[in-house]
Amino acid sequence: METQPNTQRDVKKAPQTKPHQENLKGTFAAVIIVGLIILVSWFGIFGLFLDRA
Amino acid sequence: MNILQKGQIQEAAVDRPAARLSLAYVWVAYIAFGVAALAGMLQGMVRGGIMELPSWMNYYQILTAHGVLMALIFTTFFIIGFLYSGVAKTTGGTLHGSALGWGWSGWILMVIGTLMAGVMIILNEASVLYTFYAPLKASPVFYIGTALVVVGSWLAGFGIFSRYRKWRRLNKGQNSPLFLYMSVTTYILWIVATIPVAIEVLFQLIPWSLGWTPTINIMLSRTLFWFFGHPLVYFWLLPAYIAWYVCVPRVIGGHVFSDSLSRLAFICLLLFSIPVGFHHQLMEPGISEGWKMIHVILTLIVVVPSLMTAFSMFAIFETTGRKKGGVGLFGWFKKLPWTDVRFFAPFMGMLFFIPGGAGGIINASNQLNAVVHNTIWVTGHFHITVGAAVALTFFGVSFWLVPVLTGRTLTPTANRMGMVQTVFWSVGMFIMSAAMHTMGLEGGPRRTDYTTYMDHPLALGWMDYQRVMAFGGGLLFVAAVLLILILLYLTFMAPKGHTEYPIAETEEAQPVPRILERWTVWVGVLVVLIVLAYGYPIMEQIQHQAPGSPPFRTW
Repeated sequence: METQPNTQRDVKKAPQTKPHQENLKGTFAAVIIVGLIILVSWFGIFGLFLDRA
Repeated sequence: MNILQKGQIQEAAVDRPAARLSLAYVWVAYIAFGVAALAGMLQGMVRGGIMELPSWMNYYQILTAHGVLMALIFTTFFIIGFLYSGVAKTTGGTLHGSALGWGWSGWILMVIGTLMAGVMIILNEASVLYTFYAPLKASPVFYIGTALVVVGSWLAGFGIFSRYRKWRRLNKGQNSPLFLYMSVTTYILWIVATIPVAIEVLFQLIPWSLGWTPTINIMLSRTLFWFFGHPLVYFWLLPAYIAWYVCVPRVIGGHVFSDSLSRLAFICLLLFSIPVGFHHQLMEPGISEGWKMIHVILTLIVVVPSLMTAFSMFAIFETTGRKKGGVGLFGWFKKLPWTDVRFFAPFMGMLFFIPGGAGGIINASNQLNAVVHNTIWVTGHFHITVGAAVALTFFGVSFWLVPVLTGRTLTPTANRMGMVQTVFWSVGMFIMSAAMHTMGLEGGPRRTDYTTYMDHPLALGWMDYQRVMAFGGGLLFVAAVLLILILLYLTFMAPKGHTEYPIAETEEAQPVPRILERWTVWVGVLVVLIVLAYGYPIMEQIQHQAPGSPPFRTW
């Protein structure tokens, strides 16, 4: 796919693009926690629906 | 030439004409916010059974004032002011003549429209709530006023498009700055979303309220409203996301995590926030289950860009926190600037958005909607989304934006007061919305004045929640007053000086797929989705309409 450098930087001064090496374990854990909150909430209300149905 | 070339963004400031325009929008927003906050506090007290309104004022009147001024006027004016300032900042620190012209024309029209609608609400001629559902009928002046607000907002959008076009002309073949790109996406969403509500107001509500047509097609009017009503939520959210993606990383000393991911998330939000309105109408007859299911599926796809946003935010925080010495799974969290209100306020907004997003998925799921539909759960839901996630972000932006626009500084004292304000707003909103959610699950209805339903035991069980809601509303009012005082200080009294307009960049040059900036492709896909999701149901509602309704005035 045709790509372009980010316009918000002076490309001449920018280092060559390289893959991200950051440690994102915390991000992964945090997003999983958010997903779990969504699932628990959804099934909680679904349980209420079944209970009342 | 007054438009930036690449690499000049950091040096540019927002010049006086652009700052004056942005400030004019921001201050109308906060005047509306102040009146809306007062109406909201009174409403909470009345619903909580703590006070009664004087005979010349009714509950539904202040409910309408609160909804219209907070959800429609505060948000729209603030968003336009914020976008104009950021567009100016990232394209050379200025706005050319036609962008300024469009901006001021829009402002004048929107102020006139707001005054017309506001006076009608004060005169008790428009107590139809902010959704103005037919067959409740307001004065035609109210509808004409709201139409002027919408048309004015379009004019303001033309100014942003004009600036974008000029930037593209002078920077051929390059991707636009992220802030500008996101502003254009937001405005495409707004213009597409407001067309159906403009049709509703111009061709259904105004002729009907003037008595030119005796009845109105209720189903069609509600469908056109929600065609607009759901993307309206995203019109509130996208500018908050702009602050999260572009401004907050700079505030915390970090970088944009991924330019392409940010742009892709905005494109997904544009595509999947519009053809989804039936999830607000799941309990309504007149729309078949199949069409409702299609809208529910499209709605749930919005989870994808929402989680992309959550991932990006955590990634920005983690990479920045680790560079500052944070270790362990969550040690980076402690390294974030917790005493800087420019970070703390939007962060609290993000936190509220987690249960807000979960609640949204619940609302949009057919069976679960049956549990919460038209209960005060829904009121709690939009108070933690627009009233907390969006509002707290806008407050956090205001704490630096107002000094930028007035050439003043955010002093340490103002920062501390901002922290106190954020705590009051967050605690008030948590208390009030938690009570609303719980009461809603126990069947308490939304949009009703104080009543004990002739002392029915079920209704009596709601009374404590209503008092808790009133207490939360009181805290929110204190926070609102504090906010206005801080903003007055930052506008007129804070020491003169330089305040940074925080615009983050990626840490290193990143490739961005060119297709993300090919608007004909995305608008084309959007139109196809809209025709698929709405074409046939709307045709059916016109061809096989139920008997129309005459107007009603219930107050």
